[in-house]
Amino acid sequence: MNKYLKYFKIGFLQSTEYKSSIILSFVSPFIIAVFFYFVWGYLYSLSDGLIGGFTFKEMIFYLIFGLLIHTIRSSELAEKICEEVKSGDIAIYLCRPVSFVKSVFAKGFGERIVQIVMVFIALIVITLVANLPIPNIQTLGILVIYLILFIIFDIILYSIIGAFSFWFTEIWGIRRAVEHIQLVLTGRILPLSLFPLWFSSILKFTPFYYMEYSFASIYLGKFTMIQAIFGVGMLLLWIFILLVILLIVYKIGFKKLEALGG
Amino acid sequence: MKKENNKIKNNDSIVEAHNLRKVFRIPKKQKDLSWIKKKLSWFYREWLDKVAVDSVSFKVKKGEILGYLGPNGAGKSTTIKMLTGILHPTEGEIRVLNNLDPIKNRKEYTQNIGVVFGQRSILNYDIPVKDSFDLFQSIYQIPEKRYKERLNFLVKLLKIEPYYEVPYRKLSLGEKMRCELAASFLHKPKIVFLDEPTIGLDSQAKLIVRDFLKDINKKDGVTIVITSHDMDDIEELCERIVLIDKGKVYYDGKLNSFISKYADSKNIRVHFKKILDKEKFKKLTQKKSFQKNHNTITFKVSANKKLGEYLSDIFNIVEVIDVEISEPKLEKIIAKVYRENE
Amino acid sequence: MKRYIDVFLKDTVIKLKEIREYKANMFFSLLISFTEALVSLIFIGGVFYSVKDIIPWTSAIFIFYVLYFEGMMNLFETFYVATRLHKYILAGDLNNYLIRPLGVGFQYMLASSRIRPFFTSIAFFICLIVYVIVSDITFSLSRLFPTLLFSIIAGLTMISVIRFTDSFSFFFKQPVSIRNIYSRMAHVYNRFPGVIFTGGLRKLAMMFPNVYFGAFAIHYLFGFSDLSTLYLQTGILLILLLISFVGTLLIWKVGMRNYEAYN
Repeated sequence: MNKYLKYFKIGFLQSTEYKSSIILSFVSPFIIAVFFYFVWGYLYSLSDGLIGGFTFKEMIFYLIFGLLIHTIRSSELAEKICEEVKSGDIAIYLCRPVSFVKSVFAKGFGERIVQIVMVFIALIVITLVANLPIPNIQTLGILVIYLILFIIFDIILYSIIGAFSFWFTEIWGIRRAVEHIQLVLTGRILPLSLFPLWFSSILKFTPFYYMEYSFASIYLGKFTMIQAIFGVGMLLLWIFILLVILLIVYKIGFKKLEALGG
Repeated sequence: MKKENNKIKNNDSIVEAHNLRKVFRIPKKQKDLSWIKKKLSWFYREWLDKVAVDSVSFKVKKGEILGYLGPNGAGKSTTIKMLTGILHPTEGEIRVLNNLDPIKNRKEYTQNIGVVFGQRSILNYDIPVKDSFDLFQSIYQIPEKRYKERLNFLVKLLKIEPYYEVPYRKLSLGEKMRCELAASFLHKPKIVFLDEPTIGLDSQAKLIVRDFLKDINKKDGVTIVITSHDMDDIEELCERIVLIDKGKVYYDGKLNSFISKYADSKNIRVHFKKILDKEKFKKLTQKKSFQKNHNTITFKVSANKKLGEYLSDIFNIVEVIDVEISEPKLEKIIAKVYRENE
Repeated sequence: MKRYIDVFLKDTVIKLKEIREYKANMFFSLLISFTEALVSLIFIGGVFYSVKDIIPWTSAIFIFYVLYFEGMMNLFETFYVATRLHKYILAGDLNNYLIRPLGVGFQYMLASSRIRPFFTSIAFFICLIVYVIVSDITFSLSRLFPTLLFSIIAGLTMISVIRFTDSFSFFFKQPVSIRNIYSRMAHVYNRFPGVIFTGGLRKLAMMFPNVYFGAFAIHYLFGFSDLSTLYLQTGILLILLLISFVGTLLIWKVGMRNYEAYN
């Protein structure tokens, strides 16, 4: 267990290595957020007050949240795994694919822990500033669970993408394609309520419905507690499915690596 | 900076370094602070001046193979980087070829040099080696016919025919290095700088590389400056060495003289038929520096002792068949010199 | 100089060979670009459905806009899509450039260009032509040439500005940098055609060349603005071009001077 604690610490230290990087990574969304504020303000001034079921304040919150969530993503993970496969470093895990997954998790969490705290602080600040109602304790609790599940799902997803490097020399193409599709399907660019009904109904069977859109809706009180808990269940289900896929993919991948002799 | 008109007067030097000095500013590492304070140190950072090269002067003669040696951190790579125009010297002057400055006359200078770094490749990673070579042809504007002849020549000499069409990343270390060498000699440079060219190579690859360097030095008259930790490389290739430690030149001269000067002992092995004086023999072999093995005794004699006297004593103690005298390996001598300089 | 042309041509040939060998990457590039175009359309459809009359474009013009914009964007991205200067600096890759008889900036430009976006661009333009033929969309042909010329000037400005923001890596050496912030903001203007804004947002839009070969070009092409506006916008573009070009040269000069060849 101590070994994984070490990975956690490495991940944490690495993410705080470039101090200006942390600052910049929050300045950047902040600038965009201000931008959004003016752009959407203009749009709302021409509308009837509601777009996609969200008021102006809620929409701003929704979009800012989408930006903040981005800082939690483990997008470099796929490339890192790809590099390890290319360089052959991954061979040390050859006999123990399970511990590879575990170390990826520990490191991933270490890197993201700071962001989780920051995200929550930012959210609370925005809520106060925008004069939106702060969710009660139960809701906040559920939301923390959601965030943690996001990270887990994200790590698994990127690890699976990374696993493609056993078969392809570059995986950035796959990664970016997946990210783009996710952008639309999780509602990050537009609330899913702005899509035709049949589309969002299909999405309810995928894990994507229960990400950005659900989180923001829960926070803004547009979902009931039951819907929220149902979402948690779906996320857990999908995490389980992906985990199985992950282990299978890596077992096959490692076998292929063995056959090649590194 | 004081501008000395150090023109390359005699036609023998092709590279001249005068009082080179390079100082790096690095952030001070506060080792005794807790790691949280270390994170906050962004607001009050202190800087440290690290002197990588202290006042290095030496000349490289045209057509020679010079060994540039030193322990890790001595300033070797920094010096080479200054000589190739990658780093600006903090102080000092460099004159190359026809009185050129590596930085001011970069385009003209680089047209006539080749550089190979041991740890970083100069060839494109993903594409076949041949494509990289073709690119070099354009970069150095080598006429087609001359390029083809030269390419064939180098490929044969370095034995890289089978690897030629393969993407660089698929090659083994030895194959990579030989391709890099071919690339760096393509445009018939006047000087080639090699930084650890045999690092990580197996013995066969090392032999090919050494033979190649000797051949091309003879055929093209190209000056080669080589840094290496492999002392066999140096012994095989270099007539002259410059030894640098802690940023200063410690020795500049012929390799043989260096060995004679710093070798503190010689190894002697005597083969004998029979023992002539049993008592004296017993005394001899009881000494720690003596080893007896059947009909052979091996021992060391320090450089300042008179070898002749020793040997004539031995001749009286045993009936000698054969005597072997050898000097200690360069590696050991240099390691000793580094240690003493600490 | 002949040397530079030769190297550029050889490099292009090599990149073409790479495309032929790694066909999968070309496929993914196209997939991503088309997904982006789709995202734009969805966004426009979703938002502008709720907010009518904000822009005098018909939905046909919107589709034209998206295809034209993606075509242009990819064409220009060819020259800067792979800029990661901070990585080159940190890894000491610039060393390799210094020991060759070519400009360092030029070599970096070659290294950060890719051919894939060029082909993606062609794909989009083909789709655009097909769309124009198939649908009943019309525009005045006399406006076509100025639009194209204008777009190209805007594109060159875009390349120059991106390089300028990228060159700040000499000072920051971080993955998250000025370049990223600039690109993110430009991206917002990709989603919202710059013409819908007034006041401060409109002025800010003028800082992003992608708005010019996107919204402004289309606005002119379909007769919603006239030549005098185009001249004014070209003037602003040329100022941006000048500042960014000179700025890039200066920063590179200073940056290379202080480049300490990190290992």
